[in-house]
Amino acid sequence: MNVLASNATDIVTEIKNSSVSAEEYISKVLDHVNKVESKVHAYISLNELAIRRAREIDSAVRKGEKLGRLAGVAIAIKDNICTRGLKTTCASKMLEDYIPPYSATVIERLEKEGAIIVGKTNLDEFAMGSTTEFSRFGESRNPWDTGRVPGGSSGGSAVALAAGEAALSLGSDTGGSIRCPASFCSTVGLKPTYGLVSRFGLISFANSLELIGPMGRSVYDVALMLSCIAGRDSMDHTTLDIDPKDYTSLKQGVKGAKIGLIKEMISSDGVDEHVSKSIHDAAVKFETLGATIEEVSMSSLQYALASYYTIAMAEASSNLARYDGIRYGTGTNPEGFEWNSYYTKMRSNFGDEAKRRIIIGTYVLSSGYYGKYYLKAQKVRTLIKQEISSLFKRFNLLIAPTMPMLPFKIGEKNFDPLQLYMADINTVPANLAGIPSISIPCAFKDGLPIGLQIMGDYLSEELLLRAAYAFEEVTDVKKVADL
Amino acid sequence: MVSKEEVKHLAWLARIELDDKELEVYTKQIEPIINYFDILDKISLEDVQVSQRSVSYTKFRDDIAKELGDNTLSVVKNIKERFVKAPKMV
Amino acid sequence: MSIKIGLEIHCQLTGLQSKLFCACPSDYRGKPPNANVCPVCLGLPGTLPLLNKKALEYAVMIALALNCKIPDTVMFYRKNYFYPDLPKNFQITQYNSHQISSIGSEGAVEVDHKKVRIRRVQLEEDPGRLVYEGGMETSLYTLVDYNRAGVALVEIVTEPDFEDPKDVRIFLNKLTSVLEHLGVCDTKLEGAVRCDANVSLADGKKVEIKNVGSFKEVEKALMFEISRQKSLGIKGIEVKAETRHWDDVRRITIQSRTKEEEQDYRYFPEPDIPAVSLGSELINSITEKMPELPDARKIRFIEKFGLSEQTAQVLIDSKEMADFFEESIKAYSNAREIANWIVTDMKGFIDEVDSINSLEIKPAHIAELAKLVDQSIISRHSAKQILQQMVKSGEMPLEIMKKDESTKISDVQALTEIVDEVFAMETDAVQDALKNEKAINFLLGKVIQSTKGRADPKLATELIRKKLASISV
Repeated sequence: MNVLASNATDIVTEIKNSSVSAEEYISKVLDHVNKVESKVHAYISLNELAIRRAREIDSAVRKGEKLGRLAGVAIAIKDNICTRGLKTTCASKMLEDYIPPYSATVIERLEKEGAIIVGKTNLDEFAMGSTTEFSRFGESRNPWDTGRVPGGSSGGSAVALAAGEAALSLGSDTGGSIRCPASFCSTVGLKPTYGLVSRFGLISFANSLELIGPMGRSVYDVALMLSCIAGRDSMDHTTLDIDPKDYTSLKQGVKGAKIGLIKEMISSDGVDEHVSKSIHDAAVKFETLGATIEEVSMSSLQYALASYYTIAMAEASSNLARYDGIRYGTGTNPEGFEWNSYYTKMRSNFGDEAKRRIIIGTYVLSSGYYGKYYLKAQKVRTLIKQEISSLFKRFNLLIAPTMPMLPFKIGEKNFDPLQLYMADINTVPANLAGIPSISIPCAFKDGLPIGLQIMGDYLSEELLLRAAYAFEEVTDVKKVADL
Repeated sequence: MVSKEEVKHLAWLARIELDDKELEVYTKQIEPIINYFDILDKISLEDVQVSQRSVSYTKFRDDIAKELGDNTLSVVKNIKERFVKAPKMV
Repeated sequence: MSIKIGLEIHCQLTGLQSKLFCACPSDYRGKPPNANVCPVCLGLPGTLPLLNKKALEYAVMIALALNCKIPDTVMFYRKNYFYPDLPKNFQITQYNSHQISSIGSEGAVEVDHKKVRIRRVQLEEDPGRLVYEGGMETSLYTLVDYNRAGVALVEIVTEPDFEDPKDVRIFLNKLTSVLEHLGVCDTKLEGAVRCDANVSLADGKKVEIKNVGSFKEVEKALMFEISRQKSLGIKGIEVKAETRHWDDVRRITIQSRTKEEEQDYRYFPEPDIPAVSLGSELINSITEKMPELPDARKIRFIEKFGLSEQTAQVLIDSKEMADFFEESIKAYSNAREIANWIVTDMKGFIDEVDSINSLEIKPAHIAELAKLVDQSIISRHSAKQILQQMVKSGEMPLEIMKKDESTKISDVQALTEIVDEVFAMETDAVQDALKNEKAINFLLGKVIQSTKGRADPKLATELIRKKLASISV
């Protein structure tokens, strides 16, 4: 068995029945990482304690101790999620040697299940971007064509999976940051219902929109990871009052499900014709699986991007205010500085995209403009929520392309911010409404992946995952690239 | 319309320094984005109340003190006799 | 000339165990710097605020005590600005300009038969403390202690309804008493209550006065500022709208050293804390559990104990004094007598100390003193002298009397006469005493009474026993 391409579930089985030792497995992963990193750059840093953790798992296996659901599995963690003792940089010079004194709740839960952190993955600085090109430590590259972007902001997390450098990843999704790289890299990425997974330890970019979510090479793996991390957290008031539960019951299929295909997301001018065709084909597949498909319009979609970016940037401008070098992060001795100069000097450690978003966020919240931008954006958000709600009265699920285009070349879009923002059009509605959405590999065109997005109503992860599983069963696409 | 002066003022509010060249470039990039947001004016919002999730006060934290005794201060670089060093306000 | 004064008061909820948004202990006084900090209150990346629900209850109590309207749902807002004492470079507070989000609004308090409107009561977090090594002028940097960062504050803002600094003093005294009666804030702790004021004359520009160290100083600061503005007016100079600092050494207000720029705080709702629904159940249960407030207590003192309005007012101005009074009357029921002792002769001593409970005199002392005077065992004049002694030594009145040799009647013959008189008067008691040892005390009491406390109790007891013995023979 090629452990590097295996599903997490299979790895756990092999380790638990001693067919493979965790140490062997992790060593193989680390060797592979060494081999391919120069081509794809998934990781910002690696966990030096990974082998030691593997040995602990092996020892537990030998002693017959009870093992967790992810025992020995190599996981990659997006570098905006705090890991105690491991550098957490958000791909920013601002935090380039920041070591958190605590771990995110999701990390504690994963480690309790025996998962082993291989390293922290690359992202757009502070999760602001869709291509990972805004990382201050160099961009990541798409394993299917290293001249192209892997998507973002959780680019590194998707690359690690498609390059065989991990079996499971954690990403975060604010406006598509899990689903976009999942789509571009032929992996599975889930943005759960807002409030289902704790944000404690997720370094904030836009708090009312973002969420940590699981990524993997199969729907079952993603469902398993979700089962390990979801559920209320007393350290995060925005989590829902839900008990942790098991999401891996996936075989019920989609017979009788009513599925809506969102017209505007598939037929607008900006949508690549190959993408469009793949999604239409996917719709037909669902029909053969027993679901009914109907094209449906989402009229509030035209306002979604404006609403999303107004809110996201406003929140970002406030969330990033704390970075002034005084308490932590890159900071020099303040002696003798005039205080405002100290602040501006320390904050020059932000990259251009981060600075731009902070400035725009400041604008939309500033006195005189609050009503014109921020308040309107929140109202529009309410309208979008209402429209989506009414769609879910008619349909069980909604589908659309995850990205309107195939992965584009590195450098192709990073000079025109507004152009780049347009790529998020299909993914932001799920964040605005707080509903769950998954991207699964759908097809390839000219060697480049196309992802299918499936959205469900609030807290409908079980149905969503079942539908994704059913589709996956009848879809044969590659998940690991040859590097 | 977003002027260079406005961008300069906003950068100041956010304690971000921009030299003249950056100010020029940023203003050029920021203006179309702000203009794009004007699309929010095209839809009637008078009767819309922002929906918000509310949680009963009973679900919040109990008033129990915990001495952490952990290494929170380990992240502070400029520290003097347990105080955090900061620039002086003139 | 019309004077308009408004107040902005901050009270720390010292009654809480933990901070407003994290579990760090809220009691920072006397602790080493940065001992009470955690990732949340230090604002480390990835941390989220965790609202203390008892702080909500306390804030509701304060709002109810100030007769405010309380909304069904409250929300928190971010106030964004940069300052080293603010770990996140924003403060989590409440804000009413877009919608009513704060705990209380539209309240009112009676001050000397005038109504003062309360604009709002809101919850917010305290920032850290700044310290300058070797003095602010020479130091090249600031030292920050975040122990206080995140401690719960309730901000109370009044409308500019005050017309006289004297009324401000009365209001602040009342507020202090209310907070003490509620048990939410120990106003005696340093920095627990702060008050900024704003004042304008004859509809002129408004001047804010900050940095007033204690409630007591507010009246003085206002008086200075009013006279400053008046003299500007006389000279024909327009008063500038500005912020001034109270210099408590030079006893003047001075122009603020830091240029208080037009601040754009960019308020928006705090996304990490959902809207909090309070519910009528909470309001009702708090209303029921509300401790008796000063005004109600004053009425009770007047109606139940027959105290005068002035006496009652002095007592309820301080919860400790009022408690002392009620404790005393448990031991002896002449409320008016006891109240009188407390608000007149004892007051001087009370005013000298921080807390009435630190005096050597306890409720039992005053109770006994009042009883002795009431029973004419001692004269009021002697009682006053005994009081002076009690303050110093903490001894009970009878003990003091026993020791006071100069006034003792130890002359056997004189005492024997008195004992004979008492026996003649109290025939029933004598019969009792022949059967029951304990009844001797009654006879002793009569002897002491008859001598206005000067009888030597030991000798008197001896003589009484002797006489009883002689009768029973």
